[in-house]
Amino acid sequence: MKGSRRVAAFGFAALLGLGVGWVGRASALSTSDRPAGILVWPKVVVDTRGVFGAPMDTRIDIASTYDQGIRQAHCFYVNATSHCSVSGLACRTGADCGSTGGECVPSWSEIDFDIFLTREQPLDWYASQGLAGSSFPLPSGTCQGGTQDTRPCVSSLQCPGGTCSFSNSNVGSSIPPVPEDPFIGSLTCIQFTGGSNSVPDQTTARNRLIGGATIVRRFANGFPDDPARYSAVGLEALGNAVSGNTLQLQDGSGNYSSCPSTLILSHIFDGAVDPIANNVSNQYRTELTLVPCSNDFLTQRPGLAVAQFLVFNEFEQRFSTSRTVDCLLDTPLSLIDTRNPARSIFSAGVAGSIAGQTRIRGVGGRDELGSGLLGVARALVSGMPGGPAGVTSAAYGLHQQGNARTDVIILP
Amino acid sequence: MRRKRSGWLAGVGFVAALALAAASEGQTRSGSDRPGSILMFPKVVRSASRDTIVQITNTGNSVNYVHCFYLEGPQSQAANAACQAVDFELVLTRQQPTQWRASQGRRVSPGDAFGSPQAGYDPGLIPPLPQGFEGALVCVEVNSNGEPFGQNRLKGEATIVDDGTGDVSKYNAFALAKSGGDTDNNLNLDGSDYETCPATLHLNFSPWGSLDPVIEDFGNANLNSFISTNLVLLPCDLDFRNGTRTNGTVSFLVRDEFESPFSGSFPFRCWTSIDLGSPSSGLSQFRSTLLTGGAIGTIFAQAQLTPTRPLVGVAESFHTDQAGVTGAAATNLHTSGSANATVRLP
Repeated sequence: MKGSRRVAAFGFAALLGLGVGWVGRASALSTSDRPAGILVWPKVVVDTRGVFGAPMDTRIDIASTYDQGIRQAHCFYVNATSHCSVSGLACRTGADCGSTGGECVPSWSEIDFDIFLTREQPLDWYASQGLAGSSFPLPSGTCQGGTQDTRPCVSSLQCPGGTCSFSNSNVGSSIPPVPEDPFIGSLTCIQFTGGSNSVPDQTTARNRLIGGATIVRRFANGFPDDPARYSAVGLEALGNAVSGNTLQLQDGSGNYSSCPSTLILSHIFDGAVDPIANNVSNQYRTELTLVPCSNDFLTQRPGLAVAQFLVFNEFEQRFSTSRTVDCLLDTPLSLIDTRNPARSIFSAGVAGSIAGQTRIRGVGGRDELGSGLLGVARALVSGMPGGPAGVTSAAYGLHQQGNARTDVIILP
Repeated sequence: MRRKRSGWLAGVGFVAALALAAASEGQTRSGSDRPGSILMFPKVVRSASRDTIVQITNTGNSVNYVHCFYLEGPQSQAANAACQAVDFELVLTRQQPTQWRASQGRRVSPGDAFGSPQAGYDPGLIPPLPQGFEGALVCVEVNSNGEPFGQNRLKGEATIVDDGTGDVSKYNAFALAKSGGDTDNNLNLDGSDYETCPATLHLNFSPWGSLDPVIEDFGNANLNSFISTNLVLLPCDLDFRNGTRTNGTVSFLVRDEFESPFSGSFPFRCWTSIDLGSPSSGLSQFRSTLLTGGAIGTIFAQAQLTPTRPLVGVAESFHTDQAGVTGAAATNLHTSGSANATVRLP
C-alpha cells in the first residue's frame, strides 16, 4: 500500500515538474511584435563613404504608443567597430588592415542619450546624423498663461506671468550621430518615467515603446537602393520596481522579461543557387548579427556569451558549431565555423539542400552577467539579372523560444 | 481508503499540472517571432517580375503534419473567383526546414541529387501559383488523420524577390499557438483553443511621397526620390470550409512627428492590399505634404489600425530613386490587445 502511495506521490511530483517545465519553456515574453519597456536594435551600421562596399546608413525609428503624456527613452549606442592596430582605421577582419595596418582589434564603447516622446509620437533619424536642437519636430515648449500665452519657449522666463510647459515637446532630447563612420554596433533604449526623479518605468504606463530600423544601401544610379528593415526586439517591463541601477531580465521576480534561451534562424544555405534562374551567379547567403542581452554600462564591460549553433538541413541531418559573442558578432553564416566558406556547415555544398534551420543558444558568459542573446539576420542575393554587381538584401528577425537564465543590464 | 487517498493525490497532481500549464497558456501570445500551430503569411505574390520564396520549418523533434491553404485575394489577376482557396499538405520530419518558390511549387521527387535545388526530404506536393497571383498562405498543424493538432512547432518566412532587379524583401509568418481545447475543424482563436489575434496593429511608416534622405545624400536624386508603403491585411476570421468572406472596416489614427493626429477608415475584404496615401487609395492622411492634398508634414509617422474584426498584416516600403529604380523592404506590423476569431477548416 505504501508503495502505491509512493507511486502516486511520484506521479504528482512528475506531473508538477512537467507543468513547471512547460511554464518555463512557454513563458518567454521577449517580443518584436508588441510594445515593450526595453528595445534592442541588434544591428546599426553606417558607412556613408562606402569604405566596405556600397555606402550605407541606418534609419532608426522609435515611437511611443502612450496616449496620455510624455515617455522618456534612455538610450545607449554600443560601438563595436574594430580598428587596425597600426593604422587605426576601421576594419571588419584582418584583411581590411592590409599588410601594414596591423591586426584588426575588437573594441567596445558606449554613449548614452535621452529621447522624450510626446503622446503617441513617432520619431526617426539616421544613425550617421542623429538629431539635435531644432532638428526635433517639437523642439520647444509652449507658454501657458501670461502675456505670451501659446508662444514657443524654452524657459518660463520667456513667459511673463505664465509658465513654459514642456508637456508637448521634445525638449531635453538629443540624439548624437554614431561616434565614427564606418560604424557597426547596436542600440538599446529603456523606457523611463521622465520628470525630476526619472527611473526605469514600471508603472501602469510601462511597455509603450515600439521601434525598427531600415538599413539603406545606395548603389550606382540605375540600380535599386537596397532597404532592409527589421523590428527592434522588445523586453517587457514586469511592474517590479528596479532596485539600484541593475535591471534584472528574468520572468517572474525580475524587472523585465527574460531573453530567449534559444534563437531560431531559418535560412537558405550560403552559396545556394537560385532554383529558377539556375545561374551560378545567383547565389543566396545570410549574415547573422548577435548581441548579448547583458551589458554593464557602469564599468564598461560588454556582455559575453558562447553561441552554440545547431544546424539542420532538409535531410534531417544535423551539424553543430560554436562561436564566442563578445559585445557583438556580425558575420556571414559560412564564416562562423571556418575561414573557407565552401567548407562551412552553412554552405549549400556541404549541407546538400537549399533550406536550413539553425538553433542558437547562448551559454557561458561572465558569472555576474547572463548569457542570453538577441539577434537579427540579413538575407542577401547576388548577381540577379539586371541587378547591381553587388547584392540586394532583406533583414528579418529571429524566432525566439524559452527563457535564458537571468541577464542584467547595469546602468551608469 | 488509502488507495482512494492515493488516487486523490494523483488527481490533485494532475489538476495542478493542468493548472500550471493553463497559467503558461495565458502568457503566450501570437506573434511573428516564435513558433506556433497556425502560420499566416499575409503576402504571397507571383507576378511577371516578382516571386515569393516560402520557408517553413518544423522546430520540434516529432514529425509534423501540416495542412496549408493558398488564399487568392480579390485583387489577384489570377483569380477565377475572388477569395478562393487551394489547399495542400506537408509532412515535415523532426527539425526539418523546407522551401519552395511560389511560381514553381515543389514536386515529390526523391531522386533529386544531393545539392540540387530540390534536394532534401520532399515535404509533399505543393502546387505552383499562376502568374498574377496575389494573396496569402495559411498553414495549420494537424495529425496524420488531418485533425488539428497543436505541437506549436511551426515557423515560417517569406522572401519576395524581384527577378528583374534582384531586390528582395523578407518577413516572418505570423504564428498562433495552440492553447488547448478540442480537435475539431473550428479553430477558435479565443485564448483557450488557440491564441487570440491582435486587436490593434501599429505601423511605423514614411508617408507616400516622402523624400528618402539617404538616396538624396548618396545618389544626387535632386529631390526626386520617393518612398511609398504597401499594406497587406489578412483577416483572422477565415472560412475555408464554406468560402465565406470576411469583410469589415479599419479605423485608423495617424500621428506625425508633430503629434498631429489624422484619422479615418477604409474597408477590408478577405485579403486587402492598399498603397497607403496613393491617389487611388483616397487616404491622404498617409500622404506627404510634399504632394497635393497630403497631410503628413514629417518624413515619419505612426498609424494605429483598429479593425472591426481582427487582422494580421505586413507592410512593404518601396524606395525609388530619380531613375525610377526601386528597392523594397518588408516588415511585420507591431500588435497590441487581443481579439477572438475563428478559422474553419474543410
